[in-house]
Amino acid sequence: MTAETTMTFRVNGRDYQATAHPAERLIDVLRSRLGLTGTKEGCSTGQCGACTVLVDGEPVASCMMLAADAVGREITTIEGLVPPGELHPLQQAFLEHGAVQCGFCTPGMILSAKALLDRKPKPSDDDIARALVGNLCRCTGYRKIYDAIKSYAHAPRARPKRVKKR
Amino acid sequence: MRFIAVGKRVPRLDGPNKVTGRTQFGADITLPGMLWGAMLRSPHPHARIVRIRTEKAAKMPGVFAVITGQAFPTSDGEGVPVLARDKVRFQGEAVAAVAAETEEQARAAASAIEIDYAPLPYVADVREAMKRGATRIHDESEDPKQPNIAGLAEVKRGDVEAGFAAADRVFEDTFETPWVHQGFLEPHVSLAAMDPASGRVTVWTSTQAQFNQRADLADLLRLPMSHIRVIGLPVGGAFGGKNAVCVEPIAAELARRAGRPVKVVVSRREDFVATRPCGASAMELKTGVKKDGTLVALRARLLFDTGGYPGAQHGVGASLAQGPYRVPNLEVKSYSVYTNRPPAGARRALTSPHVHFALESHLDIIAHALGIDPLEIRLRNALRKGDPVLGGMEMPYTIARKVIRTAAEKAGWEGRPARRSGGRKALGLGLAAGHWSVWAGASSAWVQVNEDGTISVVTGAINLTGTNTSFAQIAAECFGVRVERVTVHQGDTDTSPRNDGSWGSRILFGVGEAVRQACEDAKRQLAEALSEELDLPADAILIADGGVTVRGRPGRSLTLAEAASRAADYRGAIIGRGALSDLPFAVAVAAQVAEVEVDCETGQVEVKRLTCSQDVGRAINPMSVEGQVEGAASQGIGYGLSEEYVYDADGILLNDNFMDFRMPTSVDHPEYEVVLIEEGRDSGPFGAKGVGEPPLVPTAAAIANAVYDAVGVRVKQLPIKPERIVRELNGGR
Repeated sequence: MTAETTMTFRVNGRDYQATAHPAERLIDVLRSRLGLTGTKEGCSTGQCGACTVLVDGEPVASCMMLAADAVGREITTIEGLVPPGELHPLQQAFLEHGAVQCGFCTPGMILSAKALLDRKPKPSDDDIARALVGNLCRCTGYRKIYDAIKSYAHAPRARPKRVKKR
Repeated sequence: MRFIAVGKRVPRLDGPNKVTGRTQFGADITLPGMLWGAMLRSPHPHARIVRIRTEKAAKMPGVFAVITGQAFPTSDGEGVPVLARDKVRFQGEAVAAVAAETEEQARAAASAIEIDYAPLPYVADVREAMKRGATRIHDESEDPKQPNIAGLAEVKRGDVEAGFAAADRVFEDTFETPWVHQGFLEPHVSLAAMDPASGRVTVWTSTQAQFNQRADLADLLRLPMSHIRVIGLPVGGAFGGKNAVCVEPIAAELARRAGRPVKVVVSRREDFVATRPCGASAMELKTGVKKDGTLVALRARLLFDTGGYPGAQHGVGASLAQGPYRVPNLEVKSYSVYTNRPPAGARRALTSPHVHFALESHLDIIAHALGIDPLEIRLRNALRKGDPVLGGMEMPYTIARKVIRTAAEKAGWEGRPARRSGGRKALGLGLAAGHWSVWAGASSAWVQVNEDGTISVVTGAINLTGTNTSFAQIAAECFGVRVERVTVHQGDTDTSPRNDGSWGSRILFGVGEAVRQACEDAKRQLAEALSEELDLPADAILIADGGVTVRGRPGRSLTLAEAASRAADYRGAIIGRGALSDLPFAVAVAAQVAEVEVDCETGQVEVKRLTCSQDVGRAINPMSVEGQVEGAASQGIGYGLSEEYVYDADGILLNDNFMDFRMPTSVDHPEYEVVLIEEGRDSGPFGAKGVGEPPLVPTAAAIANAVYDAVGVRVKQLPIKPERIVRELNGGR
């Protein structure tokens, strides 16, 4: 077996030194080495989306990415969305719209939604459908997830501030 | 009656930890010194085990323990061995297990166990299994001619032959449904540790039923029940698939032998192949009707595939066969049948989606043949109060007609256009109804009134669907306090009162009522304590609106906090108890209208809109109830259109992953319209009844009926595959 090496990962705005096998998956480093268990493992084959994290702002199935490939890139996990004790307005919207049931898909779902909203602040239903197609949810039937994302997108706080013209 | 907490859209109390990723599921837990467990599974669907050699595996690096079927002389409570003994009866059956320092070491050692099998002919489905001279799956079966009958339930009412003779028309149809996985995203996971001093074993697990686990584990591990503690963890979806023991006994036995904690995480592939998915069925219906559509007689022969080991499908299936309709002459023979498939588990409304797919498709066929509106035939025959149901019970209320009519009205049934032909895409509407009975089962709760006036609720019921949030609403209502003043704790088998499993849509109905009774008990104790202290009659003390008042003495009021701390000083903590094992049963009726678009070239079916009406008695938390309806209906869409286990000719599962076993995704969601009817009040808290399972019951049939409405193709076999539709549209080619 190849020896473990020490690598530096930038996760949630902080640098972590972690020892890992070069063949180790990103999800293993996050969950087992860094203790960031908010990232869930549902299928180990990139099909369910529960392990979604953001890599340089893009949603990635962390069970399908080698940890070594994540070195030097900005990784965001569900723990990094807001400081402990706070809720991101998107998380708040998921709660208020009943978009959370068992909660196993939720971290990945929220990160996929976040990536979409960062790219497109006012997504259409088609945009949402496409952005979430890799995130399975078996509990909700998806409607309340759409409701949560749309309410966040159209809430006053999400509108860009306008400069008054004189 | 005006409520302050019941009927409010309260977000799930466990939600903040779920949206932030802080909820600890089983796989997230690590114990000091923990080992990993892995299983070796049979590659054959049916074979004798000739020899097992574990010596090589036992000497591999990191290995602490190796176990085989010898470790468990008895089977679990459902009759399924933990590890196969002598014979394997399905592909993927666990034969041996290993505990090692790392997951990789455990898997490597498991695959180094050498097993000699003598493969046997295998049985792929229920029809083959029921043939005379079929391959015998259990050597000890009693009937030599039909050795694969695992169970038979019969229901008889009236005289079906006389009914057929009196009928104007008689219809016969056969329907089939496939094996499907429940589709929960969190794979099975368990951890176990033994305390060497006491010999007590603690098991942390993703289960629907921690107290049932405790009883099963005591038998399997041959320990007194008092030596087992089961800690039910947050469950990442279950839907009936986590009712029974799975890897719990393996983790526990390995931990006992290794003297170290052991964690077992099942892979997705193992979960598909070898846990307890939902079994297939073949159902033959023969129905006699009058010209006006009145049902006169129904004979049903139901074959439920229970896989390699016993299951409970036949009894439940038999009780549901009449659907939500009055059937004066009824004869049901319902079988659980052994095959060489995985042991069948439960799936949301055990067998009810199967039976109603058949019956509701059959009713549509009858309606069209008689020239009657499918809505009309259902309204004409719908159950009314006092009608016999479930083999010996009486329907407690007249609600079915209203539920069915509501779904039709909201979906625009009356004004729907006639079928249009010619275009590539065809639209259709399909209606189906269904029912499910809800039984309380063992239900219990403790409620403490704290000295600050807050309320603590403790139950041992596993919180799957947000029932803890509804319990908080029930307690808040009982005391007249805000929901935030209530905490709900799901205890484990050491720290909470016994409850049956979270199945059968029973938790809110039964345990919710236990919570309500515990609140009333606590209020009674509080009033008694104050009456002694204040020298007032107990019935003069009223506890409501978050405070305590004395009848006729407007000035003498106390806050709940003052009252609770005075009462506690006077006679100790106020702890209310609610415990029941039965309530008059409830019947939940659901009806749905599916609007589908069928692509006549590709056969692709898209559900555009799903109108769901359901009698829920009382929606304690309407947002949560809507979530149950939409989620169940979404599973119904998968069941109707895309989900099925596909096996090859050797009995090996081909689609053991989420890419090939197609569940609905974000692009497969229709517009839902959910209408909650709150009229069929029962003995549940504030009239509430079970809601989580009934909405899966009619969905697949509603889609099948809509496909017929759209293109005139009747599909009697789930899932409704595009190729079947195209073949029919091309005249059977």
